[in-house]
Amino acid sequence: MEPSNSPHTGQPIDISWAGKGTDYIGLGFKIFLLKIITLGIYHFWGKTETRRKLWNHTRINSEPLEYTGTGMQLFLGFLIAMLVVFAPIFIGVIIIVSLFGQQSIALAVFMVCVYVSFLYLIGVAIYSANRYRLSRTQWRGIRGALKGSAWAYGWTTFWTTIVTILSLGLAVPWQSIKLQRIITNNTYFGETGMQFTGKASAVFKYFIIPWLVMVGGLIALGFLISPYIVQIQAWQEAGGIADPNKILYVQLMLILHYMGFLVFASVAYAWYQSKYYNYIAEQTHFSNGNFNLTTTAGGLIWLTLSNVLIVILSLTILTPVAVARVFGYIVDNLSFNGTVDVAGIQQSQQSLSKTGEGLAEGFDIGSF
Amino acid sequence: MTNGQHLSEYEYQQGRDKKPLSLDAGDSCNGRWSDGKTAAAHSVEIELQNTALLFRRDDENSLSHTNHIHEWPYASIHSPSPISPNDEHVLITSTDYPGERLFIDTPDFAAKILSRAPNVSRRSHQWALLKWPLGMAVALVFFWALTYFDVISPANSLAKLMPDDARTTIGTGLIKTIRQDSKVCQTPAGNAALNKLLYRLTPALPKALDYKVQVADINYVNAFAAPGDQIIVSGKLIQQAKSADEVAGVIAHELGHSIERHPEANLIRALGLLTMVQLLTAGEAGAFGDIAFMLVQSGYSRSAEAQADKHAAKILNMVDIDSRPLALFFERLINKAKDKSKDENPSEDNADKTSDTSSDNAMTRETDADDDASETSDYTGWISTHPPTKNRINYFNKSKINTAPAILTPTEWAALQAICGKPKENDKSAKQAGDSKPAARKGGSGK
Repeated sequence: MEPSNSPHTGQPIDISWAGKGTDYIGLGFKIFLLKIITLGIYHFWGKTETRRKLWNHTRINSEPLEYTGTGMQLFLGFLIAMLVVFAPIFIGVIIIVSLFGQQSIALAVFMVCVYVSFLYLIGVAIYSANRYRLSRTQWRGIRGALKGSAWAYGWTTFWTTIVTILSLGLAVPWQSIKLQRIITNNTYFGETGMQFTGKASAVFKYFIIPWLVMVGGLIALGFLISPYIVQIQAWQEAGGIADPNKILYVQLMLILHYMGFLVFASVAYAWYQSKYYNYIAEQTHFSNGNFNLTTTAGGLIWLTLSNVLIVILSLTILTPVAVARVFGYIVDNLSFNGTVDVAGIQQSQQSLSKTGEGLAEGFDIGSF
Repeated sequence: MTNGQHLSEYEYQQGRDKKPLSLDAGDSCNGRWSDGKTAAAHSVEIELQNTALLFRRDDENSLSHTNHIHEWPYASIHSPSPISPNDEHVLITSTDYPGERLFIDTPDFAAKILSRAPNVSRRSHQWALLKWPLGMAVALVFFWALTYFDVISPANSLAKLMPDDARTTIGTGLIKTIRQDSKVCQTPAGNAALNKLLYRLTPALPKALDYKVQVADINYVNAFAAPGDQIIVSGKLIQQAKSADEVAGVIAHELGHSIERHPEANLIRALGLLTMVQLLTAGEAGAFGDIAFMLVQSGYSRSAEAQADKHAAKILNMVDIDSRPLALFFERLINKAKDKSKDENPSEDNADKTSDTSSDNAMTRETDADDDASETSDYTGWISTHPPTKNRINYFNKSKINTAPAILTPTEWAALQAICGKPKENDKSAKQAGDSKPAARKGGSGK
């Protein structure tokens, strides 16, 4: 390319969301209708259509992002994942069941192997899906890219998950930051990369609170419900004879206590999540600046609860609305501190895969 | 601005503008252009001409103007998302210059480009999204129709390739599911009678057919062929049959299905369709998958039934068994169905009701079922979906065998009827089967 006439000076970046959740109601119904007409095949094209709209509603310095993926790429990616990963498992199960029977040890061993390999493949799927989406995201004709190896990411996901389980969840911040570092440091816009400076220790001080709430809550729950459990055991020993009103009261109290625990745990976790997301954004550097995200616990809780209602009450027809509300919430709260040397960003040299995120579709990994 | 003059001059030089310009001076506007090589944006002046959009960079003070006039023919112009007439911003691309982008934030530009470029409208975008999935759906329905009308039958071809071990294993599993808790009926005398009946049929069967017939203590009148040449006859069917000839006829018909590998083909069809639907819909088929499965469950095609009938007639004829009792058996079924469809008030004695199940998944059932649920059934529906029973009756009535030796002695027949060990109930229902107000029921597959 020719060197630009203008000197490479930085430019402030404004990120804004130009959509509303209600813009996606019609889309939800249309996709549902077309899915019926096409025997469900429209699923992949509907997903593409939703993304085009989401990307188009995301404006950077008032110019929209552009989603260039196609339904056919998603469809082929899914078919390939089915043939390469899921069909062999299906065939394997049939062969083992017909040779050794349904209750055989061979089948149990096979299924354990399958689940262990899933733990690995899920990481691969997440990374590949991210790569596909970034490579199909453009602004001013410049593509995003995710470099690095999906297999390496899958392996890191695999072993850090095992460590996290062994740590009783205390290693969650360490695992999240480790995985985020791999993704961010491999994320490029054009040929300009992002840098991640986040540290697990900074997140841990937030994480310890929901963790303590969870552990303390479980202990408290145990103490609080033990009288009711004793009561139930007494009734059972007495041969199940008890006043129905008393039984109802005990059941109600048990449910209330569990609900109370869930509310406490969810609020604490949502608080951590908002702190975590905001921290991740702040530690992500690009060109001459870094991102800034201002999600709040209340915002996340409201978004999640209202979205669950929207999806359930509409029998999943309005899923695009829920997706757009999440997308919009993040974009709305996202900003950029500093400047970007826009003219210095060169087109990405990464080659484009022909198919998209099949494995992720197979594992039903959501995210837009 | 002088720029517009340059463009006109350019057009004039190129000799393109044969038609008079229909556009006024307002059809030029400003925009931003990116070259697809860097993320820099350059402001440009745009003019909408008859066949193409022209633009040139504002910030370029090059010597030769014409070199810097970009031309995007309207046919080459696309937009990443559909453009609506009221859009305040428009982003467009050109297939002639991949990577380049034009961004225009003049409010009335959207309507102008919509009236010129054919590929940016909502309709054009929708068609681009819909054409492949719609084409695939149409192809699938077409394929299904081809198999439905027996133009091609991939399931039958595959069924003939299935190894015997696999057929037997699958069939045994399916029989277990169908039989559920009901036991296999066995009495020494009953077994002997059944074996005698089968022994009579054997000379007419293909030598390689390693078939097996079981009587199951199922409480409705039923018979079906399972994969692996295994046939299940319900005890109730034998009890309600009027002669050994009828039972032999039913078994011969089911053997016909086995010879043609219909049970295996139906199973393959069901599995294939289910897998395909799940694949195509990313596993979220749910209801769609069930509908597909129901389509398959709706039974054997007419031609498959006719094939089985043909085998039955041939088998019975070869071993000197009169096929007219089988015709009578079918006649009873069709009459019951007709009676029932006329009957507005189906409050007849429930014990008398017999109904027909003709639902076949991987099995085939040829029979009537004594079933209280028959009130809710659609009898005329059964008549219309069932293979034409009248034709069948005529078909079996052609039998010329009049002096055939009886298959079983009266003692043996009584032993066979008692094989499930309920002689009393048997007598009652056998007696009433003839003169009862009968019922027929569509679909016995309420699993």
